[in-house]
Amino acid sequence: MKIGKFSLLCCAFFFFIFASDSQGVQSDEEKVGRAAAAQVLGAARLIDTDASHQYLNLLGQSLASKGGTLYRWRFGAIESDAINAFAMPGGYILVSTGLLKILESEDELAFVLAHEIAHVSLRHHYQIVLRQRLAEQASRELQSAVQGNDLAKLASASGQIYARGLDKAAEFEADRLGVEIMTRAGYDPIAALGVLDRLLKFKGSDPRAELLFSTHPSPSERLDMLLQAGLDRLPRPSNEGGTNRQARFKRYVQGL
Amino acid sequence: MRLFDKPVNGLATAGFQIIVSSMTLIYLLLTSGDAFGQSVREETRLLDKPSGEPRGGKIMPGTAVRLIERQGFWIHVEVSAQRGWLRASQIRFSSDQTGSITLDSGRMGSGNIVSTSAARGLSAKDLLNGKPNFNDVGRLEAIQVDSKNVQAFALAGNLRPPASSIKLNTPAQSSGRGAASGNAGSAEPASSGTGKKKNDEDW
Repeated sequence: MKIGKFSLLCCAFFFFIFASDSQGVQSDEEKVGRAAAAQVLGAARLIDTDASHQYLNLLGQSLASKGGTLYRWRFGAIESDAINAFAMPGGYILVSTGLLKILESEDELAFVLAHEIAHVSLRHHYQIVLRQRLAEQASRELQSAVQGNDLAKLASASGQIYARGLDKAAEFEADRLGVEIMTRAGYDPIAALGVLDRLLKFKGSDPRAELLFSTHPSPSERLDMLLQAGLDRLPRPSNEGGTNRQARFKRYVQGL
Repeated sequence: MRLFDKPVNGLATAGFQIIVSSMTLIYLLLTSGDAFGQSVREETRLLDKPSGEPRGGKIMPGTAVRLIERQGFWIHVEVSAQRGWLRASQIRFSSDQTGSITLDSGRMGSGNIVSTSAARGLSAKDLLNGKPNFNDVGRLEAIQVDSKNVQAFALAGNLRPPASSIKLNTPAQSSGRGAASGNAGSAEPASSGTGKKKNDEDW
């Protein structure tokens, strides 16, 4: 037990050293994610209220610990009516206030964050960057961007990935792992159904959901996939303590 | 079946019939938009309530259902004028195999018009043309949460991880092409685009 604690402390110590270097960014994956996050934040800025960030990060961290992959996770809300969320390599996750405001519970927010955590853990976007580097057309620009430390170039290259989106299979995979993560953390998996149910009400022509729908399978397809994967056979937590969760979620959303 | 006791003049009858039949057509189009979006996935019988007893006859796979309300994983449906309950997984929600092309293109048309005014900060264009904001990345990176606070957060929210291991299965996906197969050159972003939403009615 003591040895366990000691090694944990050592790990924490080395992690601290690792994390507190000049840039705070070490791996290529994080560098790519940092640039991608800057690009998304260039389109919609981070909200100002610091107290809000605490809530989102506490929730995000309690989910990320069930995600199976170690990253320095950062969760932020961005100012936009658009209904969308973004996962960047290395653990940067951004959720629009437009999406936050249509959610009805902390459990629903947990599904949204867990879906994004899943994208990061499964390296969906990072794999595209790696593949693009190999691809003839994009290689020169991306290679030189990384080698020359030209983050602005890297950012604009990643803008394309987020404008185009991943393929359906990757979205379905993130839905499944997302549901697993949130359920392991103690949230109610039915909230995933609630979120998709809510998205069903936004038609393709609603400008707020335009990018979301052009980059994701339709909510009904996602619903089908999750149900076929056995969503309705997962254990559901009891309702006790739900009022506390609901109260802090409401406070959070009202403070946006 | 007879709407009128007295025969009316031929022309008027014909006109009336045209109106009726075109109304029927409109009605069919509307109801197919509403009802054919979702169908029964497997042979089943409706239940009288969630987890209740079966009643009525067999319902065959592919039969259209109308969704009335949802209670947890149970859904109150109407099938061929019968009402009852099905489990969510017994229903097919997406409708890629059916649908009217004309309705699709109509939706997409209006979608395109709206998209020109969709300058709300997170359009594809904004993501492509925006200037990277490294200042806000710095703000994001400055957020610190203590692991003790994470534990306290879970405790206060009464988050109790389930005892059993949680694993979903991977259903066969006809549309899938392998995870994140990338789309550097072959952008295909709208494969599930605007038109598909036509049958996704509120319920």
